[in-house]
Amino acid sequence: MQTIEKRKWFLLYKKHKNFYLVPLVCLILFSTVSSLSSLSVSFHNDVLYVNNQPFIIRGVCYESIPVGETSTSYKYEIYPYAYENDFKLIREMGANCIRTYTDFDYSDIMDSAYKNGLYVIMQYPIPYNTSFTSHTIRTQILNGVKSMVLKWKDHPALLMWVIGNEVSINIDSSLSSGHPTSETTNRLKSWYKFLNEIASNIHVWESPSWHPVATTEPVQNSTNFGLWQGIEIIGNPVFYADDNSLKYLDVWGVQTYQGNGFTSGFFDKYKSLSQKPLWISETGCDAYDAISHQENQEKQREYIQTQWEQIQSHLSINSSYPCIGVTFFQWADGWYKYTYGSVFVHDTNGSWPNPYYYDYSSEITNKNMNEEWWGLVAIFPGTFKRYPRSAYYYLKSVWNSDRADSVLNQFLLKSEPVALPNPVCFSKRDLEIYVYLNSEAEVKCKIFDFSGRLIKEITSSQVFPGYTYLLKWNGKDYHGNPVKTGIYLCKIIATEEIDNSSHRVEKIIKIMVKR
Amino acid sequence: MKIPPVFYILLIFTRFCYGFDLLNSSQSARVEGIGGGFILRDPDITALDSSPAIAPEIERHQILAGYSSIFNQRTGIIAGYFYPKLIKHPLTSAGASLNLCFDSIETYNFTSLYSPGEYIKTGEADYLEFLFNTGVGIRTTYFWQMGLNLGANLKFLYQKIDKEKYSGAGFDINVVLRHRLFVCSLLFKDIYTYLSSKEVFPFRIRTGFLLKPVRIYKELFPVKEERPSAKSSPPVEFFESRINPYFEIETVFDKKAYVEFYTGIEFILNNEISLRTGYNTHEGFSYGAGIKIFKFSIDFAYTVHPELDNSFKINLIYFTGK
Repeated sequence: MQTIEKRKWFLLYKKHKNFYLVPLVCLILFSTVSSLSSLSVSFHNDVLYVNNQPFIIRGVCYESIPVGETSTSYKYEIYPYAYENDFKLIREMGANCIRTYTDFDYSDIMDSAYKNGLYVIMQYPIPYNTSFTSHTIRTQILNGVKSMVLKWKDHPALLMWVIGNEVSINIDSSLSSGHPTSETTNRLKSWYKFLNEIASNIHVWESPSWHPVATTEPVQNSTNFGLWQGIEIIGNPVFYADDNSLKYLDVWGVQTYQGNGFTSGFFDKYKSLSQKPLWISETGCDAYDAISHQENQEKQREYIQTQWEQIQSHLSINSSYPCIGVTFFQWADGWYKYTYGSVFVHDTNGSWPNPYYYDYSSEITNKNMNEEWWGLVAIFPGTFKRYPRSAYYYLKSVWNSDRADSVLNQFLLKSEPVALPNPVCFSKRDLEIYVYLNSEAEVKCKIFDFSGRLIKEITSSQVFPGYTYLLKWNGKDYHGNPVKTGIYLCKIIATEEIDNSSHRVEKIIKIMVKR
Repeated sequence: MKIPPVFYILLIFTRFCYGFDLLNSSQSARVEGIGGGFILRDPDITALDSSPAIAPEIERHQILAGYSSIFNQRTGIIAGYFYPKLIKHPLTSAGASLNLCFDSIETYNFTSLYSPGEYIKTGEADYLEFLFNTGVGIRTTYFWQMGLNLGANLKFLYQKIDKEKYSGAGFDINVVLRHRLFVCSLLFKDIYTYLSSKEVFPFRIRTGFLLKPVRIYKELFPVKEERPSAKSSPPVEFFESRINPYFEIETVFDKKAYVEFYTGIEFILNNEISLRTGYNTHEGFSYGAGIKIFKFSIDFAYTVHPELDNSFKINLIYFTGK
């Protein structure tokens, strides 16, 4: 009996002996594809580089909870249409990334972000009032972070990790109004020590290269930074938050609501505290006027405009300040946010007071920060349709054609290049390629057929006012042979020289050649 | 109604292929993985349009399916069927393939000839290509350790570009010399290929060789009979017939002639797993892998173009019959 069993297994093995090849080849293919697709993120002189190209974070804090749901009850995966529509609108606004408040546990939303040209700054949430001295809790958090990192580290949409949201103020809310007690100091010490440990582990888990690790620190307004305003934590060795103690933390995220712009000296103050890149992880303005009790889109737009203009002038790419960009708070209104209200009602009650916003009045409620009205787009019950506010349209206009962005490779282009006429008939006229730039650059064009063969390289022959470059092609290849009918790929390369470094933009357009 | 036999031929040998350019017919994932070489030691359906002399070597019915992404600008699918030994003679074979490609662009024109750079979008223009390829091949029996294959392609072309339609024809001749130590191939491509648009495609001569280095090594340094247990034998046996380097030169006789090079190597392990890499002067480096399992052959190729986005192709071939 035993022999028959053995024989049976042997025959089964013999029959299916090639099965081992299936997982082997799948593994080879998977590792090849995944190694080719992961994103390269690095810093050089405080400038963020993505895939070796300079990058400014221009994003939104992404939370899009429909009416009737809360951030804990709503599952994004149930309504993929909703986030796909959001991402499309965010991309159309000119944003290049979103910041999340949780780690996604399903890949479709990440894939969708990537497909829509958005990178993701992914946050691992740290619960309020966590005791970082507890070994069990620390292990629990580390395991959670590890699970998130191993799951997403190779996804091409992933830009950066964020560990915790405003953890320091959640340790002790009295931080914002006075000097911390010794107990609070000790708790802050244990948090930043642990943060460094998490960041160090992320570097190891992602080794040899890693995505930057950030945390977010709440900073309030002040005309005098001598008072306790949160920013004193950054770079402070008393809390182990100085650059040496936090050597594995790559970026400081600052969440700040300083009204119509930033306090004079804010960026200088940060620069004096830390050498790490600065990301404005939250700022903005709500769209509800707590005094007149009505929606005020124009004030929201005005504040965001001032904030963006000031951030823009302090970007590391074109200044000596270390700012790498902003994620405006936030994408959509959240009808669930007011703690004492209904998830079905768009509450107009303020949650906290901020004297630096236009609608602050100590005579009224003293709470002018209307948590449910921070969206760049409004939402309504029973629909996933978004209703963009003025601030959305402002950002769309400025982020899609901003001069300051021209120092970046992808925004050197004022608008998409065009080939005229297309289709072209070379027996009648030459092809003219117009490249519309925001500044002076060296422009050339390489033409390929669909076999990948380089047919011809041409350089700009004429420049018109407004940095419009003209390139002409007579339809002949390198050898002087006229090209055949078909579709060709035209790769346009514009190279801009800024401060002894060159920035390059590349665009590919298709050209149809007719007889 | 009696259906003419030609209908069956068209039906059976049809191969649809999306993602190539006219007369630069879509290479298989295997060919792409070794840098574009057309000398195939292990012939399959995808060899037919590039090397018709290989057709007599194909002994089994084959069904092909595939997916490709070309420079991130075109994506598509491939499907097909090959029926061997059409003439019912072991040394002959015939087949045909139909390649189909479609694409579209957004069209633009000047708003005014006096305002440089001002334009309007005028719509979209479609692009369609058909390449119907009939291949015939014959091979000799071995003589002096060699065999000779002859093959020819007769091609019919159809092109629709925007609103204009063109048709045309052309043919290729292919000679392959098979030796136990090497394979040589000579392809006369597009000998007279034209379109009704009066567009003549350049004549090409492509020649190359494939070596069997381990066999050459054993020929040069034979293991003596009295030492059958020589330790050097097993590693040599391991590599025998499993490393296939090749080199090819293509001369394009356009108004001004120019030359292109192709080279690559394939390593076949246990006649089941293949690893490939190659290089050619217009596409750059390519990498590939393949596996044969049961009646399936799966091939994957990844091409790293120095200037354009990368391409990849996946083919699945199912061998039917014995």
